[in-house]
Amino acid sequence: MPRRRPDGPPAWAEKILIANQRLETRTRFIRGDLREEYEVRRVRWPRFVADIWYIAQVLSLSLQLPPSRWNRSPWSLVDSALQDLRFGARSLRKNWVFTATAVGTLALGVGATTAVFSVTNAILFRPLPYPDAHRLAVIDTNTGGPGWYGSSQPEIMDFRDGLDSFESIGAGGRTRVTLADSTAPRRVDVALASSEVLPMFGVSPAMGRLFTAEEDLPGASRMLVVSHAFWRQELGGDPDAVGSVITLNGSPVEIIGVMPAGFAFPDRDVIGWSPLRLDPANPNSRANHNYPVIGRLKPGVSYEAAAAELAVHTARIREAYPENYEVRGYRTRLQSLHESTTGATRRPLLLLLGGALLVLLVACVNVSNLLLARGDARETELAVRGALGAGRLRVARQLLLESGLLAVAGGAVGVALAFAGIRGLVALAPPDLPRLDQVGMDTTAVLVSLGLVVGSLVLIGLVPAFHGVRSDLRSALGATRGGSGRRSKPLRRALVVSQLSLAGLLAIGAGIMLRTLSNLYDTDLGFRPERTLSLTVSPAGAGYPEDEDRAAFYRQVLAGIEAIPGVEAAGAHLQRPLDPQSQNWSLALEDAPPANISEAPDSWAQITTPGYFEAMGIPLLEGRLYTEADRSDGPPVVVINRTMARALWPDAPALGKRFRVFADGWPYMEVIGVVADVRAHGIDRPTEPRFYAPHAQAGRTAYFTPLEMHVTVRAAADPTGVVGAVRQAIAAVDPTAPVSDVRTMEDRVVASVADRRFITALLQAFGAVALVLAAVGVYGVMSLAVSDRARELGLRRALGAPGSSLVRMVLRESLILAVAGAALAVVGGAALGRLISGLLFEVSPTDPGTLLVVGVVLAATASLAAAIPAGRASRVDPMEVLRAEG
Amino acid sequence: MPPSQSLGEFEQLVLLAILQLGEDAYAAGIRREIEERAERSVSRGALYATLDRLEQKAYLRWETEASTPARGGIPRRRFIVTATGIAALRASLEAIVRLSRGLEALPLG
Repeated sequence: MPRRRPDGPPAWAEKILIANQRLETRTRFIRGDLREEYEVRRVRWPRFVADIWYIAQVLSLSLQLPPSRWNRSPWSLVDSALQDLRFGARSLRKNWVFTATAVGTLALGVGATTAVFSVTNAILFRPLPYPDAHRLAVIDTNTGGPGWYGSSQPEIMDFRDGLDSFESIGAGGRTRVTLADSTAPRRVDVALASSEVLPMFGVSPAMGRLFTAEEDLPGASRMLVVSHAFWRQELGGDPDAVGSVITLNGSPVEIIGVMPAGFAFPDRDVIGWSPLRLDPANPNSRANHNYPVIGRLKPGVSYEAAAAELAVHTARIREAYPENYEVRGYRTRLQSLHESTTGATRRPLLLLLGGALLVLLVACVNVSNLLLARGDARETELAVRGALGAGRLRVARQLLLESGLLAVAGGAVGVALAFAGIRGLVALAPPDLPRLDQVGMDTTAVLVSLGLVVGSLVLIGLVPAFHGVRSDLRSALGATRGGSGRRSKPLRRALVVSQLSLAGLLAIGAGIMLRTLSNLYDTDLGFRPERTLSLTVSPAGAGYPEDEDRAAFYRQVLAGIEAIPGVEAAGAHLQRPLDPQSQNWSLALEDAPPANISEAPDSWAQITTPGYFEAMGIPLLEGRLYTEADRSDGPPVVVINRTMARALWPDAPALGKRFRVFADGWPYMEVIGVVADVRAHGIDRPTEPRFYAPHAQAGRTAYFTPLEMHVTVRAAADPTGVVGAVRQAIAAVDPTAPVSDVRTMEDRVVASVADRRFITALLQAFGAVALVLAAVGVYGVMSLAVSDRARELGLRRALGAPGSSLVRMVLRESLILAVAGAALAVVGGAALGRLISGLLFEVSPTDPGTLLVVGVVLAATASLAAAIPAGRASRVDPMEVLRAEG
Repeated sequence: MPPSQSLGEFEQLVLLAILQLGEDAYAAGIRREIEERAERSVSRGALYATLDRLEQKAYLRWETEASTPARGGIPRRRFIVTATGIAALRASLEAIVRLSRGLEALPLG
């Protein structure tokens, strides 16, 4: 939060006004007039716009009022500086093409950097908005299988007993429930938390209280601490909300507290926090890794110390329970809450920040080049000024002031661009980006990018000052014909090469990301997303107590949907491809019974109705699919995917084999079919073993019969055309069942690569901007080279060289620049590739195709930019040159 | 006292604007008046410089008036055209009228 500034225009701008016209009584009135007009604008416009307006007025007034206005003696320095400033402003206005190019270039660089840095800073670098947030840490667990996940209840109890580094350790979870509402019931997310979790954050509720340890036990009455957003939006900001009752999943739940705004754990999608209610007297299985763990370190305990203690503890527990961990292992990981919240976005955001910084660099290089070219062109002017008695300092100051004017103008436009840019970034960003609500304009970002701009301008702005004042008048005047700017030519070329290479680097980044996206889109998903609609149905549990009721509900709903004209197939399923997956179960094979759970193979469980395979477009490879005939009283059957068949029975046909869930008393299921692999965990993730159990038998064979299911509908044409009819078909069976999350599968496929699309789009934009800037640079250098060599070119023509050979000569030079730039870009690209390899999919960071294309693009850009000067070279009139020589 | 110098075009516009505004001739209003009626943009610096010049020539004077809240406690100036100013304005406008006599048929539109 920025500090509040007192009313009125920026004080420093007013001071300029006062300082300039110190002793003039009139200044007071002018100040008053300006202030009055400022107030009018401040009401109408955002304050920063009014501020910019005010500063512009002060500056233009300072420039416009004639020098006699200014008081003399103590201010003669200011006076002459203002003369210089006036002079600079006039000359910048006269060379408006140069000025517009320079200001536009700087604004692009500053705008991009500021916008991206503001977003990055808010998400990655700023601490979480809780007191002592650095002491909050997350413990992740892995006992086999891919990735990190939560812990089981016995493991959490072990943490509490065995870890000394922590002040408290809590467990959480998340559940989706139906919120009864005056209009329509809908699905909302509720966070589950043990009684330790909320107090850990050191945030007191805005109203009411948090729940106690006694209320976090099984059998305690249901209660909820709601989020500030829920309180405001759903409870109308009712000051008496504490004590009121809402209905979740058909049961009354008392609201005992309201958290303050800004408290968003685990994210801002949850409407509130409810006790987890684990029973310490009767813990559930050590193999159920259901609960994310969060802890608060004791004051003064470092992460390293806590992580070391955790490692020792983990090794001890692994020894203590060999039947659980001997084969599968037991690993834990300690992360700060900040890292755990933002870790996944770190690399992509840093990559974008790097991209924006490259644009800023290219912009600085471009403006430097422009200034150098201008300095060369002004050599004569500067030499004359020197001859007339201007000291080196005075000339240097003049040039610096001009650079300063450019920087201020470029910075101001850049900041305005950044405002728009931040809004655009937030709108475009993948919705799962954490802390997006905390993103805003960042003062540090503005200062850093402005600092870079001013710094580079000051450095470069001074180069002509030394050339200019040093050069003696005669040679400067005499040189006008022969050509200007010999001295800075190598520097300018080096700058253009660096520009081309930076632009090439961005283009390489954009190119390999584009290849990645196209590879992702081309990947065989294992299902056919086109023309399919997928939604979620969540009937209230009270209406469907028995497995048979649930199976019957979906039989009726799906029959109704399949009767809709234009619907080809429909099926219900527990999990949906590309969603976060759960239910990785340990299994027992009939032909290789495991001795303990550590030896048991595991597989992802999917429960579906028979129509699912056709609706989702999953092809059958061997055997048969289950049908309506596979009812709860029939022999238990199961369909598995190819990966599971190969993993469990590599040498024999899987058909006819039998396995069951790893729990006593559950029947064996017979494998009746093998289906193709589906990229369920994400397009870029490998497929894993998966089995499909029929919904009608699930209560007998797969622990439970799900009531909330996804329904996927395959339509003959545009699937959005049948949405209304599908809703009606569901309402016809149960009008109270909420239908949510209605989207086509194609949408979901696209959304699953949203983060990569975001990065690719930005890299493309950065690359395009950098290329345009580089083209401007090449154009400037080549056109100067042509005018420098007008005499030589004219002579060559006079001696009979055809125009085309002169064009070739200019093009050859620009190509040399492009090749040098491309070579540097490729070297940089290799380094960049390693940085982003985690984002790539089936493309090498040094993909030869991409490098080739980028090289061609660079060459084409350089040639295009050189085409105009080249054309001019071919049209040099030999007579004119020779006459001018005489 | 006869006008010592002839008036520039912008000076005429400023004096006319002050006369048009009567009791409400403050700097911002003068600027607006010229921009709206004469349909030309007026730079702030040029206006202040001209007001000062006209005051030095004694064609106008100003009175200090109490501040309004929006001005942050700073008083404001109300401009008044002096008798000399009116004479000078009249002389210069009459010169224009005299010089344009006989040119009524000029296709000015």
